[in-house]
Amino acid sequence: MPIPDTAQPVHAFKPKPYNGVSFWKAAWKSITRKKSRIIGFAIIILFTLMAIFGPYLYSSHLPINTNAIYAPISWKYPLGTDFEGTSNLALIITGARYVLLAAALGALFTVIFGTVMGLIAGYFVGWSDSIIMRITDFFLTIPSFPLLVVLSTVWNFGHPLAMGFILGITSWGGMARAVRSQTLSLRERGFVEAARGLGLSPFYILFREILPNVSSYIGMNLLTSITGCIYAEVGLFFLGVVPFHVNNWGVMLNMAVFSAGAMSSPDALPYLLSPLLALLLLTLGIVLFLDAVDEMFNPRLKEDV
Amino acid sequence: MKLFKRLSILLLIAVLGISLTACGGSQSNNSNAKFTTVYYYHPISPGAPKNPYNTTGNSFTSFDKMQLAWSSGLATDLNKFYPGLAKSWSESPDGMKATIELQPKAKWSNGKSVTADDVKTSMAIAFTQGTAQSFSLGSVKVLSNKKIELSQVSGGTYKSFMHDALQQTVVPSFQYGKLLPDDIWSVIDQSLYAGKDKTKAAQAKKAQDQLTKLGKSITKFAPKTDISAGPFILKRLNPGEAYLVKNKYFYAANKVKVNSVSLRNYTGNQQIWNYLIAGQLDATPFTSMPKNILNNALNKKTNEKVTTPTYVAASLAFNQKFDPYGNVNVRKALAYVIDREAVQKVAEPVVGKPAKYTDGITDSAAADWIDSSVRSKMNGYNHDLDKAASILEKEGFKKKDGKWLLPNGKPWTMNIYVVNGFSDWIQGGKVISSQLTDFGIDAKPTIVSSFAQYQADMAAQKYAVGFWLNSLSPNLYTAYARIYGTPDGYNILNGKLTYYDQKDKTKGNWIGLPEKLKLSTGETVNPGELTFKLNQLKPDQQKDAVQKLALATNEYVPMIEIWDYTHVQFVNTSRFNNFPVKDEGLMNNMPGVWMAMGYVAPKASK
Repeated sequence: MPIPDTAQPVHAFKPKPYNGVSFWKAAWKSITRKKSRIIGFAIIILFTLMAIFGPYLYSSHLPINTNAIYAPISWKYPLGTDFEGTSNLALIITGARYVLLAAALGALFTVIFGTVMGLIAGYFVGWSDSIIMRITDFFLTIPSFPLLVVLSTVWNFGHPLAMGFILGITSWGGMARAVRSQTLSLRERGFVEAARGLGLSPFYILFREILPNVSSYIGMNLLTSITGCIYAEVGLFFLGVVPFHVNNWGVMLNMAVFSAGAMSSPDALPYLLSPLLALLLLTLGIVLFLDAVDEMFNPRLKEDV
Repeated sequence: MKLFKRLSILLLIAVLGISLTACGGSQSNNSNAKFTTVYYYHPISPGAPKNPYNTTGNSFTSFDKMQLAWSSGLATDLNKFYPGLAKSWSESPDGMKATIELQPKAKWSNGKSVTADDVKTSMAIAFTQGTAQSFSLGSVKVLSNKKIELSQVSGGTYKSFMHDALQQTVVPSFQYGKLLPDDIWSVIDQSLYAGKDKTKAAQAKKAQDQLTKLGKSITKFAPKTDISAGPFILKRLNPGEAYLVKNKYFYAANKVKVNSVSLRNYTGNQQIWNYLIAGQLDATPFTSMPKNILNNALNKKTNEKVTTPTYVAASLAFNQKFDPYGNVNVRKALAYVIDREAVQKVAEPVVGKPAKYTDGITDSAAADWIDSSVRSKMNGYNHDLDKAASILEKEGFKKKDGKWLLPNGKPWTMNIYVVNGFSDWIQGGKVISSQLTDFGIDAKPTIVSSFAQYQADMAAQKYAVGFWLNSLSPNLYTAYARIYGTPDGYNILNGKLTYYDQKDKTKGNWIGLPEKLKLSTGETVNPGELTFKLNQLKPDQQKDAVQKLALATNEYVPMIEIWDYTHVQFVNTSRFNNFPVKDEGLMNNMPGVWMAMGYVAPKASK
């Protein structure tokens, strides 16, 4: 049978294999997609660098200058000075490490406790669910800030690890409840049924099948918990119930309001505004960056897939 | 038509509003203007009982809480008093008895007369509170309805007997008498037994316990109504203020020209600053403040600053049990390291002055007591880092990489204990830490949650270095007992001096100086005994003991005096005038006393 002239040779179908985009590349893409996300990311990087390298920029003991008490903003003191003439900028920069480390650890503890408890309760249901949820209810009903105030009179929070642990312990309840309800819905889905049918271990199913599906929520929560923890610890320091570090942002707020009269006289205003500015910037950075985190962990939001 | 209706309603509202504001304006300037201040001793707590024996009670000294008389608190004239419920008083030549005559017109706010029985009941209550024992009260005899005689315990030698007795609170017998058992005076007599008979001593112990127990129930007593013999009576209490109105039964009601008093609540100094700057306080008691607040307060033209000397000093104290503070030369070296002027400038710029000498009393009090010959023997410990370094080197301390090491080679670290909310101590502690750290001693301030906790921990020997208020009073015995009293192990038990060594941690000896101190003059003194002696001497005989104590304090430095407080108050002349600003003794008292003496008058309405 003659082959008609119009016929074209059929090319073998050779589809390009989909190699996937690496997580980091995708993450970078989701960050750079919007200007606001870049700004948020830059702020977070700035504060992280401050926390890591800040204390090395100054001598371990910040100089005092009794001739420049509550000095106004100038080139020498870009954010003014405190009650003993120490630069507020230096205090903010050297104080970032404790504040951020404690908050990051607090958020990490919150997320780890909350996720593990929520996953176990939601997947196994039955008595383990009941026990875990009653414990969760217990932690949810205790007002965490007053509890923190009481705990801080008993324990020494000199180290950020101790502070972070306490912050985590008091705030994992909400997270556990949310993860549990997501797990309850996911455990009825086909892919989990299939995994169970294949005889995979509950550990595998929990951490390889279910966890990635709630990771977007966890990632978001990690960041919001950081802000929550910062507010809680700065609040504790503001109340003056935890150890006195002159460069702690909360202590700065406390001293500015209760000793320097920043609320009654403008002279000490830079002392009050410096830690507030730092807190505001950091929160802004986290909020702007949250948007990107959501996209990073949630494949459905990726616009180029 | 509708528009007209609306307009007329709007107009009506506007007219009403304007007339109301006009009324408010005129009220603030007429003679009914209320006198606004804050209560110096504590904020207002609406839940607390209206009971003068309760530490946070809603009973306000000089307004509705009355004493027999008001001490002027003057170093130059310790025995100058302003009359309270007592009209006159006299002391027997040996100082063992005080006879007090009450104001003939003195009445409680329900119209009943203030009698000698009320004073007797009040003195019985003073035994349950431990105050009567502190001035050696032995017995109370009612001479007539308005006359009473107080006697010291037999063998008592307390020279300030009448001085302290006059400052006792007086409460109505018809309100407080029922809280005491009928045999209260025999219980008191039993409790005062100081002999060697074992049965009686056991009985005394039992009686003392009974008194303590009674004392606790009395402090909790919550009377339904405020009954006052003072110039004012509590009318209303809320979380914002205590509102008192004039007591028409007050014995000198005709002298009191203020009709009502508002004692504003405060949560801290910062709130008092706000009231002061806004010109809302007619009188502002001593309040610690930074310079910017002082300037703002004085920007209000009607605020007038009144400064009088005080006898309180802030110092850095050492527990000599802790290494290396048991070494007197180390304490001296630290005194050289601390730049007191810089500390005062940061911590107490407005109401403080750097202490010139460490001698146990304030510089203003010392001027009257310490002769130049003794002064010349004293060391000023002026800021001198080289001298401090050479002293430490002599004592075997070594400096390595800019840090001082103890003679045993361990690094030298120091926690300076201060109290939460005491901003001057916190800032002072921080500056001293900075100075010490610059010098090579790793120091940091540590905040204790409350003053009660601080005092308890201090007494239990938990702190090596901490702030302490010394001096406290123009009365030299009180002043030196702040060092060589209970803090150094010297206690008075039944009129006798008892010493507890620092090894017994329960007795509150947290200083731990040796009992015998050899002075540069060659003389050996026991500071506890010398201080106790001040208690037995009339002021004009005290000078020798005071000078020895001052020299011992200067040479052994149990604490480094950092700053002396100055008594800065404010009065506001926009609504009231005729404040007793020229009378230092009255300014040492609260506004209720000023008013009872005829001071403070509302300005005429405009």
